[in-house]
Amino acid sequence: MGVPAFYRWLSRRFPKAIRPAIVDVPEQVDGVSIPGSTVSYSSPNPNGELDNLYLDMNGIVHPCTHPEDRPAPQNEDQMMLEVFRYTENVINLAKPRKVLVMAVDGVAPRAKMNQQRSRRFRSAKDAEIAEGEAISKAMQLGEEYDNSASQRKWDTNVITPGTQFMSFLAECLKYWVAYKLDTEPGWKDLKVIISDATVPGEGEHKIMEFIRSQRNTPEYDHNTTHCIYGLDADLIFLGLATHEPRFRILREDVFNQNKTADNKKGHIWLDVEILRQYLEVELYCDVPFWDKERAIDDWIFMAFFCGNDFLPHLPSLDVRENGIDVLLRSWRRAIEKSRMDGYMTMDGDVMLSRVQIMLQGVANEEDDIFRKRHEIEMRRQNSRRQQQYNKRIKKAPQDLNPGAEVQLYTAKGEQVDAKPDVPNANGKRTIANVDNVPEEEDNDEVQMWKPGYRPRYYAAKFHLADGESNLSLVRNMVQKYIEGVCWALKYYYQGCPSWNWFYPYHYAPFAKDMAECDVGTLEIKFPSDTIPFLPFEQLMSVLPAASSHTLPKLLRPLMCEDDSPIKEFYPDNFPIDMNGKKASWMGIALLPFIDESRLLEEVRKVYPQLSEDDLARNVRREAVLLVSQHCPVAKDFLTLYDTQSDNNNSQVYFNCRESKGLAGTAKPLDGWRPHRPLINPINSEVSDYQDLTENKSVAVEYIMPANQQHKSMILQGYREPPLVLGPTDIDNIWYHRQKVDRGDDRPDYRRDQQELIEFQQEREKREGGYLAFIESIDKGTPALPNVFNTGYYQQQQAYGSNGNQVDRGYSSRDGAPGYQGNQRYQGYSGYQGYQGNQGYQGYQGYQGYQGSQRQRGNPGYQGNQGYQGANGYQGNTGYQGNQGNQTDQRGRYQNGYRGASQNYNNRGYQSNQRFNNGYGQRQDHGPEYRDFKNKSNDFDTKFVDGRGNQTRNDSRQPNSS
Amino acid sequence: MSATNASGGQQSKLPLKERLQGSKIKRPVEIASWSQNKLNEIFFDDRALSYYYFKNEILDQHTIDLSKGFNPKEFSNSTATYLDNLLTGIIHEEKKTQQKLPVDIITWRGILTMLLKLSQGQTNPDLVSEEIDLLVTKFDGQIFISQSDSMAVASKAFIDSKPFIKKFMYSGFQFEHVATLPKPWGECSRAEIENRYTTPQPTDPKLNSEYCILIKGGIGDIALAYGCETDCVIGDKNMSDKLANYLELKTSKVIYNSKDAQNFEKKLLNTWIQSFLAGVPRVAYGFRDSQLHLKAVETYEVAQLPVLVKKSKQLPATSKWDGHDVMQFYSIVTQWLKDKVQDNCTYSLKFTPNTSHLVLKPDEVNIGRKHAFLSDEFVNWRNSLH
Repeated sequence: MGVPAFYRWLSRRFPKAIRPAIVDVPEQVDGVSIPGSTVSYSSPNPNGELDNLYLDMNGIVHPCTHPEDRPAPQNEDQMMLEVFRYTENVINLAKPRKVLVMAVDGVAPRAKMNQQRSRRFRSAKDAEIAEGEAISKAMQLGEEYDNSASQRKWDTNVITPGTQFMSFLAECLKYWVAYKLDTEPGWKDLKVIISDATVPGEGEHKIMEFIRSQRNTPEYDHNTTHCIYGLDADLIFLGLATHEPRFRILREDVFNQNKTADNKKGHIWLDVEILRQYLEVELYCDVPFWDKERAIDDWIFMAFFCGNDFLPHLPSLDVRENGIDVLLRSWRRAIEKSRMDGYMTMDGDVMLSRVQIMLQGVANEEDDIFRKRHEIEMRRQNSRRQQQYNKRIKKAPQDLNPGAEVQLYTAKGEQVDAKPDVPNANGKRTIANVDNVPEEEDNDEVQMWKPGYRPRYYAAKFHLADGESNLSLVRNMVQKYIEGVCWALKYYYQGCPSWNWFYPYHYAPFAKDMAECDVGTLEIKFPSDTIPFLPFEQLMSVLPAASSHTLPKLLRPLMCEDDSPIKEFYPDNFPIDMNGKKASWMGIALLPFIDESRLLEEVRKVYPQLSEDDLARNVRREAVLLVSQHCPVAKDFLTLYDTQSDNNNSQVYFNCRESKGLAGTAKPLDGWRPHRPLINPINSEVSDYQDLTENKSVAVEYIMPANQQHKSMILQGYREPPLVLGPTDIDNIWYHRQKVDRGDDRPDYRRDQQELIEFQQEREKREGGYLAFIESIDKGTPALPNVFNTGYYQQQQAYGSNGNQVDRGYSSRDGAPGYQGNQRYQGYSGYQGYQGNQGYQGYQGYQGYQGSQRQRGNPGYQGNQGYQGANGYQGNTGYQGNQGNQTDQRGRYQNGYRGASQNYNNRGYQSNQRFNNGYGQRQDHGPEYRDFKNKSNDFDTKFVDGRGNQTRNDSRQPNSS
Repeated sequence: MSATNASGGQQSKLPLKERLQGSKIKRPVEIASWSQNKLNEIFFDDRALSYYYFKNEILDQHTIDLSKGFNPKEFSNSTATYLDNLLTGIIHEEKKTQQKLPVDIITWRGILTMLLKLSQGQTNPDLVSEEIDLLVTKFDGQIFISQSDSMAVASKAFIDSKPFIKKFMYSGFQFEHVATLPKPWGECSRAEIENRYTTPQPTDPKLNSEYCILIKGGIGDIALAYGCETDCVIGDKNMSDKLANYLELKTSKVIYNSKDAQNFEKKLLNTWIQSFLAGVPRVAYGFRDSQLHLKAVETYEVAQLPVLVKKSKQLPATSKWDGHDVMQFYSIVTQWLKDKVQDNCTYSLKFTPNTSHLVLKPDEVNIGRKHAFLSDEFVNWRNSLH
């Protein structure tokens, strides 16, 4: 997504997933570092040990080559040194022990190229505008405008596969890694894979491919810890999509207001494992097919509708407005009301009939969304005008300078940064002013808050009159859009389904349109034999004419000359549609879509004339693997180069066990020989990096294992970590969830109540097992412990014999007992699933969140608890009437009367499920209970109710199993 | 008909309470492996190796009925004849080195387990309540122990006696079917993985394969080789440490009260001895209720089992079995056999319930093989070695 807003949203909803990264510092005495002491790589990592680190190099190369907060390096050599320094910093923070993957963006699929193209054209335009302003300013002041090469800004568009710069980068990285492998003892087991710009695929997706391929090998360590470095919100989804639970994301803390002493912003970890715990609560639906992994996949799929790199997002869904909540609401409702009988996605494939159901829900809300948006905007504008006015009348009139900038405020009183914002070259917003959006006049002709917006929208954007062509256009847009989300999902989970597919419009259809076209009837198919472009073809597809200097001379005329047959693809001027947004970078660049076949035809005509050097950049290669001489497989790799002896192999296959963490095939690397000197390609007098007389590390061509069929399942042997979400955290999620499901979008003030104590608790074992039994005995707690004992709401869910949920006896509308919260929660313990004959157990022992009951004066509607249906002896769990009594929020009342209840586990009342023959089974809870044991065989045993009075439960019947 | 009872065979008794202290147990090592099916065909490859894949979350979604597909008429347990399959495996292994295995005693692990269990009779009378009737012979300087015909017959009769026994045995196999995959996880499709929960186990006897391994172990200065059937591996079979990834699968009744827990702990003796002898590091128990619905699956480290029992507050101390004790008995039993079993003589090794001795008595065996119950093929092979 690349949208910082998403990260912000996530950090508010799931706060515990984020924690600051601890930097290892050398020993200090009185705040002064001991001279000569450095932190060694081999020392333990204060953040926890890490196996694999993945670097999306573009996220490093961009800030190193054109930083925002300091002057750019003078030349490309300096830039490389910056890259080394930055990368080293990140690696030392994460300290991977087994595998390091440095992935540079290669040729992207066409779907992505359009976005890249749009950004690059915009940045070229902005640069041109800025230069124009500089010239006119110089002229105003009567100065010479220095147009020399030294003043000309470095064209950031060279950070595209196929340019000289990228070859140079690849060479430098190979040098640097070999240097580190030779000189850094802590790197001795590290296997470094460099996937440079000649390997097709976006950096982050190359990383995904890699993880998928490793995961399927039988020797893979199922508890491998992964970390990916980058700012992109996409990485969060990618991490979740791998279904490798021990995944972390490392990023700079760009929202951190407090900078550290050396003016650096810290780093933070986003822990996907904890995010998964949050999502477990967020996405839980009480249905027989509940599967956490697939629910997470559905969540990721829904996030695509809110924004992704390949499609414009739906007009009604915006991450800032919690668009994802709209989708979740529709999804949850559909599932809980049994309209959807399964998940929408499965391992990257989409079940469109179910998507239709979800979209229908969104479609029903679309009008309201637009209307509300407009109302909020109007309110904001009014309040701002009011404030401005107030401010003006406070100031003395002569202070008012027509040329001065007026400080603007949002409705919340935050300052709006009045500086014009120019995005950096890769189009990503600088985080500093992501929320500070300048005001602009809105002359929106579509006016989505008024009925009839749909035809207006299509008329305005596509210049069509109403009528037939409109309908077929809309149908096509919907078809393409749905193709797009299917494409994106496959891309994330199984790899690029088609290198040529792209969405051929600048705008998205409405959810209403999609629902009307009945998405379930669409046929989505991708041709199976597409191949990626070559680097020059990619350059021609994404670069504007202003960046043609990156291409070989012979190709430049195709972009620049007016008589070029494809000149129309490179307009110098193009319209920008603000599309109702405020900030200039949010507008849509209306560039013509490239016709691939024409482009390729023209470009390929030139190939025979290109020089060898040029052609060397226009290739597709495999990744390179570098290991130190100490690596267990280094010896095997050396046999690849041993042309003399009989030992020579043409390829070496190795698995995760042999190499300690990596599987794949190694082939000899073109042009590389072992034991040669290692030469630094950078021209620099001041450099920490020298030439080495002998390169002891080994480099090979690396090919991933072929099997990349992804399954969204957790591998066997994964050790689940303890739960870190305490009762308040879960409370918050449930509260918010119900708020969303009700359609209540007032601001959430409960956000501030967070579990302050560090909470950790092992998951409960499943009932029936030996350890589960021992644990419950040790705790001495009832099987349905109150929430504060275990921290989780343990609510029994009864299924009627038809497998559906039996009425829980309250409706969420009157919001009765606070919230029944999380019936799931005993999913952490013995969630009994289908219980068949148990009849209705209401909820037993739900005492946790009682607060709101008190407020409503509702003494806890607990009626259901009395009725335990045909389950024979229920002991005191049955009637817990006194639970209505709120005096003790900790629910100690659940035991009704003390005394014999000591060992009386309400769990006893689970024994119903264990009925084999339908008769009350004994539950042995130790000596005090022995006499009951005898009695309970007798079906006529007297029962006691919550007050300790003996009653008879006449409604019992033997279960017929 | 064998004339293997030349002079030298004497009856001897070993009291069950005998112990031999101070012997060190040898770490078991896997020296061979093969796949066999119910038709007793043997293949020297890993086709029968299965891979464990089961998540407790599945129990939320599916009711796993371990009796699914049970047909009492079709169900038959595999019946191995004496040590035949084991000997075939040994021949195959010995052909590689052209030497006989350097061990003193050769048998099935199950037989060893039967013998060792007897040592804990004091803690649990059930352990000494079944009859044991084995055949022992010495050939080529090595002792071979096998189940006798009468024991095989008795065992079959027991299985046939009550219908639920077959059902429970079937449920054990069904658990194995539900919890394992025939190929490594990475190679199976989602459908293959999920179909396990809804389909009964395949009944084709050609398919129903068992993966057997030959273990070389020992105690004190006595070396043993025994064959075991292993259930599955987690992940893959680690060729540099072959025993490291094995997992034993077992089923047991759900545990909801102290009595269940006590019974479970008692049964752990059997599991522990079995797994310990074979060097299998982990065991996964499937807990099923009396309707044979799977309720929970728990995995334990075999080395932790004696600790669990020791720490447990469920079993009274007098009923707790002790692993060290078993080992000491193991030591004395093997020593005793080595001392007492003479060349070219066949014995019966019997235990009668409610007695307190193991009795080794010379006994004629009429099977029609060259040497007692050993397969002719094996006898020929060994003869050819000299």
